[in-house]
Formats: sequence, structure tokens, C-alpha cells
Amino acid sequence: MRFQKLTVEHFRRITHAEVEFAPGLNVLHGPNDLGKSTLGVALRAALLLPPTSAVADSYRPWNSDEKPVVALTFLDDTLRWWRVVKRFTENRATLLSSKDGKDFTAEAQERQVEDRLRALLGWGIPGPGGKSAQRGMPESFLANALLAAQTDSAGVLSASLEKDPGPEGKVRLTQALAALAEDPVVRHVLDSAQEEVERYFTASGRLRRGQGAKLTAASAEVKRLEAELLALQQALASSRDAEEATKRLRDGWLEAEQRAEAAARRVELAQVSERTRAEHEAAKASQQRALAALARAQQALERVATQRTALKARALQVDAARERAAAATTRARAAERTLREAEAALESASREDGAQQRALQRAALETERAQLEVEHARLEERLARAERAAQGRQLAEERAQVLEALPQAEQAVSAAAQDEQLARAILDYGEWRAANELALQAGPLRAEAQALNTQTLSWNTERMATERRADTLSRELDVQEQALPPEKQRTSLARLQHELALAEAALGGGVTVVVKPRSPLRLRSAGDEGSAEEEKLSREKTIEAERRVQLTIGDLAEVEILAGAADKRKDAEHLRRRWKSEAMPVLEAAGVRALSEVTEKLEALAGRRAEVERLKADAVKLAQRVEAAHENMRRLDERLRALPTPEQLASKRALVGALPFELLEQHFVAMGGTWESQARALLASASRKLDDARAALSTLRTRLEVLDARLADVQPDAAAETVEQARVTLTQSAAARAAWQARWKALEARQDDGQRQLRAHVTSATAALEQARAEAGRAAEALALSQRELALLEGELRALEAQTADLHLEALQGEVQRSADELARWEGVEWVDLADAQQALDAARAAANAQRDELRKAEGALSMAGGAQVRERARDLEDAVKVARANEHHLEVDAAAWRLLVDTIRAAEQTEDAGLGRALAAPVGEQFAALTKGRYPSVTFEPSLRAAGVTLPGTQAGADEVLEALSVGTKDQLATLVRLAIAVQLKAPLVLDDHLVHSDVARLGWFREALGAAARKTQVVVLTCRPEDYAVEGGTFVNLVDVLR
Amino acid sequence: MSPEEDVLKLLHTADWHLGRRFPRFGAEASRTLSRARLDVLERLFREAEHNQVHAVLCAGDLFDEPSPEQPFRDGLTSLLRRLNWKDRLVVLLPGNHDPLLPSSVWKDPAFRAALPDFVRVVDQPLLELELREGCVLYAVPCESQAGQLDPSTRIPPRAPGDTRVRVGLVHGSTFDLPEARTNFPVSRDAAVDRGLDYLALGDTHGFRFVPADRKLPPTIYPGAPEPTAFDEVGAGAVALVFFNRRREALVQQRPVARWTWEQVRIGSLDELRLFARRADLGSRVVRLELDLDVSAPEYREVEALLAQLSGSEATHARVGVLEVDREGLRLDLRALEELTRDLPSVLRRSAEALRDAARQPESRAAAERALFHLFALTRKATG
Repeated sequence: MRFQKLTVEHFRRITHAEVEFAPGLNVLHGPNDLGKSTLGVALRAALLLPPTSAVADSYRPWNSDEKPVVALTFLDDTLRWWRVVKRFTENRATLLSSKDGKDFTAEAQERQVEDRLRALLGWGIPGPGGKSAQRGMPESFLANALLAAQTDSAGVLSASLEKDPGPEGKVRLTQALAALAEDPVVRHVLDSAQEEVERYFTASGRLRRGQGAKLTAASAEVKRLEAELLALQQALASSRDAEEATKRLRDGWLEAEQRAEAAARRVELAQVSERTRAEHEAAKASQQRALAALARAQQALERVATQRTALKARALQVDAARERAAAATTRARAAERTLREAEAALESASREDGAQQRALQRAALETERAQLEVEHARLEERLARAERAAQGRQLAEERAQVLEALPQAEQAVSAAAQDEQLARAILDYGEWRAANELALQAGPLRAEAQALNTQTLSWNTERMATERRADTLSRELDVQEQALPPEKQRTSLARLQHELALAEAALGGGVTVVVKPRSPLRLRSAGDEGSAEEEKLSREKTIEAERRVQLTIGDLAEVEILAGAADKRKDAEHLRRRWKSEAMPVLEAAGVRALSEVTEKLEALAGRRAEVERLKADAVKLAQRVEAAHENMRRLDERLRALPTPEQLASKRALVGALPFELLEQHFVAMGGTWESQARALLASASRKLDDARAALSTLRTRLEVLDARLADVQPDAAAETVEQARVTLTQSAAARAAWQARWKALEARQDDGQRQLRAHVTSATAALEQARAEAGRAAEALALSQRELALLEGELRALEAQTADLHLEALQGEVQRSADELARWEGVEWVDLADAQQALDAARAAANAQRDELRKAEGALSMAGGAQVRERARDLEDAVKVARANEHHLEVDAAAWRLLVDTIRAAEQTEDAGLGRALAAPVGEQFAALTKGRYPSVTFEPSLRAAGVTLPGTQAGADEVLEALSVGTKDQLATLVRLAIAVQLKAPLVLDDHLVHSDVARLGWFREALGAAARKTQVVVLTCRPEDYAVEGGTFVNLVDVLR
Repeated sequence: MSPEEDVLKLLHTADWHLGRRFPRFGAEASRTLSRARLDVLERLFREAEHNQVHAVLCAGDLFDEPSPEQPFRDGLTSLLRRLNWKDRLVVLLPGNHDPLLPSSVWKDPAFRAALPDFVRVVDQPLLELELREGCVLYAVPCESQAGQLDPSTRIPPRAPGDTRVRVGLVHGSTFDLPEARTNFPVSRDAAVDRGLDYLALGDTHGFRFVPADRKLPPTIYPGAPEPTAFDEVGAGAVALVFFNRRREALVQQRPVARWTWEQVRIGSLDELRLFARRADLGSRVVRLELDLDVSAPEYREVEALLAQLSGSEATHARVGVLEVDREGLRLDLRALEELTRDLPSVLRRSAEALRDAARQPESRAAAERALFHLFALTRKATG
């Protein structure tokens, strides 16, 4: 620190003063009471006193009301300019700074000024405010030492660092004085370390980062590499993004392709649906037909059952009618007998008058009756004809129905036959196709077998050759290995070699021989195993070697200098001798120069042994391959033999028939992998249908034959009248016969009145007979009617039975089941609409194409993204960054280590007892001894720098007593020496205010020299009224008379 | 041609990476290793001449980037021109580092014009080239820096009755490698599938068969002729390939590299001393990992040995290229009292304080180093 300029205004008696200070000694002189000490006070106030302090009241001018103002400009240790301006009794203070002493900028105002100033000074005075704040003019050891007021020598000597309110002064003094107390070794260490610290750090303690600084290049390299790595990592991230995008899009594209394939399969399904829909519909119709046929058959059978029931009932009726007819006939026969008896009685009575006429009349009536009977019989015949005609028509109608059904049945048979033929053809085609495919394998299989055979022969040959090579090589290696030392010996030699290497390494390395010839000489020198150099030496020569230096100095001497401790050398030499005796013969026998060559040879042998093993393994593998190949050939042969022959293929081809292959191929492809089971099921179903159709046709044909036979029996008469007509005619005949009966009765009544009773009897008998006959006739009619009806029913039943004779309910039920089974084939089948499926396929393909286009773009982006190349470069750079960081870290650690070393040594110094006191005692004691011409050889100080004592040889008094007993002048001189020493060590300005007023001329002269010496190291300001006492060369003298107003 | 004579002889190489930088080693070492990549080609082509091969197949990544600096282009062309071969082909295949892009070296007219006649650049999607009678080469270049398609699929399969020696030349990763999906994945069975008698690959830097247990037909990565990293196994070689009349390829690995990359762990001072005495260090790229406890004097010796190995402004380095990891170098503090017995008390006290600091993990490194400096300075001061 150095004062530059002091300006004082309205300060006590000074109205204005302006003093510029020079480096070194500044002597400000003037007569007494001029205000010299006031300048000293102003200087202290500028540096230490807050403007509003109560002390400042004493600074008011004596002759005005102006406010006292002091401005001080000074340079700090870093040569930065500072200016402090204080206007006392007001809170006005400013601290400014400048780099060049011209342009100042404000650094602090008002109260902050004191904080900054005291921190800058580092004199152990904390900032104003707080509990430790001092009232009045702040004081500290250094403030007192550097700026002490006039005649305060006692204060300087008794001052103690312990009283300082802050630690800064002690720290500064410790740093400054430590060098004085140090051991030279400590000094060297600390100076060297400090130099290193200064290489790494600035004065403010920051790491140097300027060009040329140690860390700068390393950090710059780290930053450069990191920036490069960052750029690469960004490229890498882009590359990874591109890879991810490509992967995602590829997955998406594959999914879209799968969807398109699914849609395509759905289209194929729809196409199959289209093809098989008709088949399905036919199956459904077939099922409906089967169900209808079953229903019809069931109805017919029900009708047969009903008819049989009715027939049974009618047969019972016929039996009853027959019984009634028989009873009526019996009664008629009895009535006839009664009549014949009455007639006989009447005839006997009538024989006397007109028996002949009566006989004639009777005969006529009898003839009429016979005619009527004939007519009646004819009518009955007509009725029978009419009935047959009716039956014939019914049969004819049924025949017509059968004839109508016949073509449909024949058609069904034909269709079923075609289906069956198709199904059989599909099966045959499939079998032929499968056989054909198998047959197609024959060529490749034979080629494969042939190739395998060739390969097997080759492998076998190779195997034998490999085995031979392995055998030959193995024998060769055995011979070579026998020439090398055995393992035990090798281990022993390796151990010896290792010991030798360790022993030589333990010798350490580096021999430096410096030859300094006092006169020219011939020197022959050789280092280690190198060749010798011979020269004439007139100047200093340095010879460096690792282990050994040999010198031949003219004819005077041969010198051998060996590196390493004697015992280590001895060990090494012993091992060398052992090596020569034990190892060298073995190595020579093995034909090598070094043990490592034996190892190399062994490794080479091992490598070749491995080759033998490899060859053997190869041979085994080849043998295994041959064996496996034989097995494969056997399997191939089996497969070949299992393949169909051309004759079998032709036979199968012939079975397929004449159906177009395209049609069969379509069916075959539609059936897919389960074609055989499907084809067989289809054939079975078609066969069943064909059988059923044929059975139905056969039934119809049989029925037709039955009907034809019946019709032939009935011989239907187209001209025959109807049954009803015949019955009407027959009823009329019966009425005619009844009329004849009435005429007969009338005749009998006319023939014999006398015989009335007889006749009546005959009549009644006749009536009875008639009645009986009528009853018998009715009964017979009823019987006949019943019999006809029974016959009719029997005919109908026979017809029905004939109709149902061919009906097989189980077969029909089986047909229904088969048709249901047939339909079941389509159960679960989704009937896909072809148009919809095609539309979905188009959409899916479009989506897949769009995805593929996106993927192509992404692949394009990926192709430019760098990929593996960027990854490799990034890896290289990561390694480089690691290495660069390690290098930077190493330098950082080194920097931290130097600073730590300096800090640690200084901290150690601080803790050393009386370190500071001893430090101060050295220069002060030396100077004091010189001043007093050895009277007081030493001075002691306490660790707090308070003066502890002065040594006075030859006296019993203690050092402290001697100190106390010193004269005022001597104490002033001692105090001045203390202040000078402190100022010099701190390189701080020192203000001395008439400090040697009590000194004699001789000591004043001595002091003049001492001040001159101190002023060459730091700035000294002397305020004096006797400038001649300080007539030092280079001093600056300022006459205050010219300055102060 | 005698019955024993090989019907075809090839030298297969790849991954020259001309123009590659080695930033981890600093500028000078990086330059040395970059130059070595061109230097090795001299030995490589001498090997081809010595074995009288019919062709040299260079399977991609011949330059480290698509547009290498001019000196590397000139270096290669002048080397090739010096060869002056009349009956031997050199086939240069673009790889993923130097793909066949419009701006790449392969499309540079000046570079192409500077190549001698016996050099063929694979600059079309599929090059079919007769190497000699009855021997055909199919080569597929990389046309971008990354790709997902297998380049070998462009090679037509062997037609029935084709008895020629068929050789494939592609660049990419077989599926057994990480990141193969986007680095031109090559099917491991490509040689079999395409009916090739030899598939020459490039990309990974170590010599190997793919798959390892299939020797016929061989699918080979010859590796980089000069290694590029410490973790490359089998780098520094080329493949010599000899085909017999049965089209069987015999493959021999031939070392050509000058530099050997080596990672060495040093567990004791003796090991370091022994290492320092090795005679082969001049051609080594070494990463030295220190893992040892040393006393203060030994620490000094360690520093001296390391200085010897790595060289200085005034002395040559003993190791070709050296990288030192000092993280495991620890100062043994047990003999501290003995070492500091004769020191001034301030330094003794300082050493003790530093020893205490060295026992704290956060200040260990700086404190140990400070102790080393302290002893070094003290030794210097006391002579």
C-alpha cells in the first residue's frame, strides 16, 4: 500500500492543504504549531474514523462553520487506485477506485465506505456497528504501529495483538512476519510452494484461466471434446430416433400387411362361399325334401293304420249281417214251408172249380216273377260292374301320380349319381395329385442321395487324411518338445530370472557422473553396455547411465561406478552368476538365447498341439458326419422306395375319370390341407344320397307294377255306369218285384173265396214268407252291402299297404339325419359377402402401401443418420473426454495440493509458540543491537507482539526489567524500530510524527540510514520540524509552509 | 496350373479407417496413430505381393468418413500407384463409414482419376467381377451410413451347374453383434444361402469366423490392420485365402500391425520398474492403470519412472503412446513419523496435518499430492 495524495479542508486550523506523496521517504517539515500533527490526524481520520463519530466534532475548523473534509488517494498491493472522501460531522463518505488513477468510479457510499476500507487495510478493525464496534478513533495493533500519534512509544511497545477487535491484523502480520521466523528449509519449501500456487491461482485466490495457465489448456481440451461429444450425442439421438421411427413404422407396416393378408384370406373365403353356396342351398332343399317325404310317409302309415281299424270294424259288421241274413233265411224257409202247406191245403180245396185257370194265372205270374228275377240279377251284375269301374279309376289315378313322380325320381338319381361321381373324382384326383407330388420328390431325393454319397466319400477321404496329418504332426511335436527343458526346470529358471529382474530393478536406476577436469585429459567412458567413447576432455562432461559407468582417465585410473546399494548389487551379481551357470547351458542345449524363447517355443508347440487336437477333433467330426450321412442316405432310400411308381400313378390317373382337372383342382384347393377327409366325407354323403334316390325310384317303379297288375285285374270299363245309377235301377227292380207280389196276392184272392181262410192262411203265410224273404233279402242286401264295403275297405287297405310297402321310415329318418349332417358341414361357416371382402381388402392394401411409403421415408432418414459410425465416434470421444477430464482433474488436484500445502504450513506456523514474537524479534533485535552498538544484543516479544524484554549481558536484571529501565529516548528508538520492521514486512506506509525528539545526534545519524533502508522497501512519511535530521538520498521533502493554509 | 496349385488366392482386408483421429491421446499421439493407419497399408500390400494373390479385397470402412481430408486421399492413391501391379486386382468397397454417397470420396473425379487401373471401386449396387477364369466376385457397397437391409441378399444364389468359385464381398454386422439391426445386418448363413465359397466381410475390428465353428464355406471378418481401441481382440491382421480345386477355402490370419494396444495394471513399484525395462514399449499403445500404495520416496520414483515412460520436452518417450490412470496411486502414510523426524517442527506439524487430511476421502487426493510436494521440496532443500 502507498499513499498518493492527501487533501484536507476546514480541518481544525487547516483551511486547505494538499500534499502529494512520493514512494519511499516523504519528509513533511515545517515549524512547530503549523499543523503537521493535524495532517497526521486527518490521515488517520480519512482511513479509520466514520464521519459521524463524536470524535469528528473536534475536527471542526476554528475559524468557520464549514464541515471538515479529508480526501486521501492511495494504491493497494495490486496497484489499484483508491480514493476515500469524508465530510465529517455529516454522514458523507465516498470510496472510489480506478485502474489508472484517472477515472474513478464509486465503490461504496456512506456507511459502507468504512466496511470496504477496513477490509482493504486488513488491520484488525472490524466494520462499524455490532457489539464489537469501538467508540471514538478505532484502534488496533497495526493502526497504532503504522499511524501512531506523536510520542506514543510506550503505547507501541505495550500494544498487543490480543487486544485487536478483529483477526485480520494478526493474519496479515503472521503472513508478513512469518518469513522472518522461518527455518531456511521452511522458507524454501514455502517459497517454492507459493510460486506454484501463484502459477495456479490469481492474487484473489481464483484459479488462473488465462492463456498459458496450466489448467487452461486442459480445461479447454475438456470443453472442446465435450462440445464435440455433445454434437455427436445429438446426432446419435437423431440416429436413435430414426432407428426407433423405422422400427415402429416397420412394425406398423408388418401389421398392415398382416391385416391385408387377413382381408385377402377373407376374399378367398368369400369366393369359396360363392362356390359352395349352391351346394349349401341344395343340401337345404334336400333336407326339406327328406323332411316332406318323411311327413308323407308318416301320414300314409297313419292312414293304413286307420284303414285297418276301419276294416276290422267292418268285418265285425259283416259277421253280424251274415248272422242276421242266416236267421232271416231260416225264417223265410219256415214261412215257405207254412206257405207250401197252406197252398197245398188251398190247392186241394180248389181242384173242383177252375183249378186250371188259377193254375194258368199262377203260371203267368210265375213267369213274370221269373222275368223279374232275371232282371234283378242283371241289375246286380250292373252294380258289380259299376263298382269295379270305380275301383279301376282310382287305380288309374294313382298310377298317373306314380308316373308323374317317376321322372323326378330318375332325375334325382341322376343328380345324386353325378354328385357321387364328382366326389369320387375329387378323392381320386387328390390321391393322384398327392402321389404325383410324392413322385416329383424322387428327382431331388435321388440327387440329394447322390450328393450325399459324394460328400460322404469326400468326408471319408478327408477324415483319413486329417488323421494322418494329426498323427504325423503329433510325432513331430513330440520330437521337438523333447529337445526343450522340462517344466520343473523351466519353472526353476523362470523363478531365477524373475529374482534376477527384481534384483536389478531394486538397484534403482540412474547413474550420473560429472567429470570436471582440472586440466585437459583423455577420457574413455562407457555407460551400461554401450560402446566406449574416448575423447580429450577439457570441459565438464556429464555421463548418464542406468546401472554402470566405466571411466578410463588417461593412464591414471580406471573407474567403475555402479548404481544401487552394495548389498543389492551383490545380490544381483550372485543371481547373474547363477543364471550363467544354471540357465545358459540349458538354453544353449535348447537352441535358444532367452527363457522367453523357450516359452515361445512351448507356446508355439502348444499352439501346434492344439492344431493336432483340432485335426483329431476334425477327424472325429468328419467320422460323425460320415455316419450321419449314411443314416441320411438310408432314410433317403426308404423315402425313395415309398414313392409311387409310374404304373401306380397312371392307375390313379385313370381313376380320376374324365372330369375336367380345373374343376377338380378348384375343389381340391378349396378343401385345403384336410382335403382327404373332406373328400371322403363328401363321397360318403353323395353315395348315401344316390342310394336313397335309387330306393325311392325303385319304390315308385314297384308301385307302378302293382297298380298295373290291379288295373289288369279290374279291367276298367269306361262305358260302365256309375254305382249310383246301378243302385237306382236295382231299387226300381225291387219295386217291380214288390208290385208282382201284390198282383200275386190279388190273384189268389180272386181264385178262391171259399178258400178264403185257406187263402188267407196262404196269404198270411205268403205274407209271412214275403216278410221273411224280405227280411232275408234285406239281410242279404245288408250282408252284401257290408261285404262290399268290407271288400272295398280291404281293397283300399291293400292299396295303401301296397303304397306304404316300400316306405322305410328308418331310411327316411336316416335321410333326414344325413341331410342334417350334410348341412352341419356348413355350421359355423361365415357366409362372407365377396364385394364387402374385396372392399375391405382394397382398404387394407391401401393402408399397408401407405405404411410402406412411410417406412421407406424413415429408412431414407435412417440411412443418413449415421448409425454405427456415429456410435463408434461417440464412444471414442467419450473415452477422450474421460481422459481429458482425468488430466484436468489431475491438474486441479495438483493446484489444490499446492494451496493446501501453503495453507497448512502457514497454519502450522501460526500455531507455533511465539512464532510472531520470534519473527519480530529477529530484525528488531538485530537493528537494536546495531543501534546500541551491541549493548542490547536482543529483544524479545510475546506472541502477541508486545515487547517482553531487552537483553542486557552481564546484569542480573530480567529482560523485562531492562526494558522498563530504558530511557525515554531509547524506548522511542526501540518503538520506531518495531514500527519500521512491521511496515517493511507489511509493505505498508508508515507515518512517523517527530518520533526521535529525544535522540542524540549519533543515534539520529544511525536512524537516518535505517530510515533510508526502510524507505527503499516501503513508503515512510515523516512529520518533523527538523528536516535536516532526515537528509536521506532519494527522500522527498515537502515544506508545509508552502502547503498549509 | 498344377493339381496342387491354388485356383484362387486372395488377400482380404477391411476397416482401414484412414483419417481416423484418436482424441483421447492428445494431438501428437493422435497424429502418430492416424499416420500409422496409412503406414500399415505398405506392409499389407507387401504381404499380397509376397503371396502372389490374384486380388486384394478391401471390405469397407477404408476411410473413416465419407469425405476424408486430402492428405489421406493422396496418401492412398500415391501408395497404390507405387505398386504398379499388372495382374493383380484391388477391389475397394464403400462401407458404412465411407458410404457411396454423392459427396463421398468415391464420387470424387480427382480421386478416381488418381487410382491406377488395377483398382476397382465398387460403385454400383452389385458388382459382378471375374477375378480369374472360373472365379467370380460379387460385391455390394454400402450406399448410406445406416441401413436395415442385408446387403448379401443382392447376391444371386448359385445357379444349378455353376461350378465357379464364388466370392462375396459386403460390409455389415452379422446378427450376433449388438446394434446389428440398423448397421446393414448380414445373415450368418449368407454364404451358404447364396452359394458362396467365401464371404468377405468388413465392419468389426477383430479377426473372426462367423459363426465361430463353421470353417467351410468361410465367412470372415479380417479385422482392422491397425487396432483402433484397447478392447479389440484379434485386430491388426489380414486374411489370406487360398482356394483349391474343390473350391474349399483355406484361411490364414497374417499380422501386419505395427502397434499393439495393451492395458497394464501396475500393482507394485517392482512391477512398474519391470514394466519400465521392457524393450517392446516403443511399438505399444499402453494404458497404465496404477493400483499401488507407495511411500513418499517411492512416490517420487513412480513420478520419475512415469516421466521416463511418457517423455518430456527434452527426452523421448519410452512408450509409443501412453495413457496413465493415477486414480489408484496412493501414498503410504505409515512411515510418516520416521520421514519427518529431522524436519523443522513447522514442516513436521504440516506433514501431520496433511496426513490427517489424507485420511478424509474428500481431501485425500489433494493432501497426498501435497505431502508428495512437501517431501520433494524438503529433499531438494536439504540436499
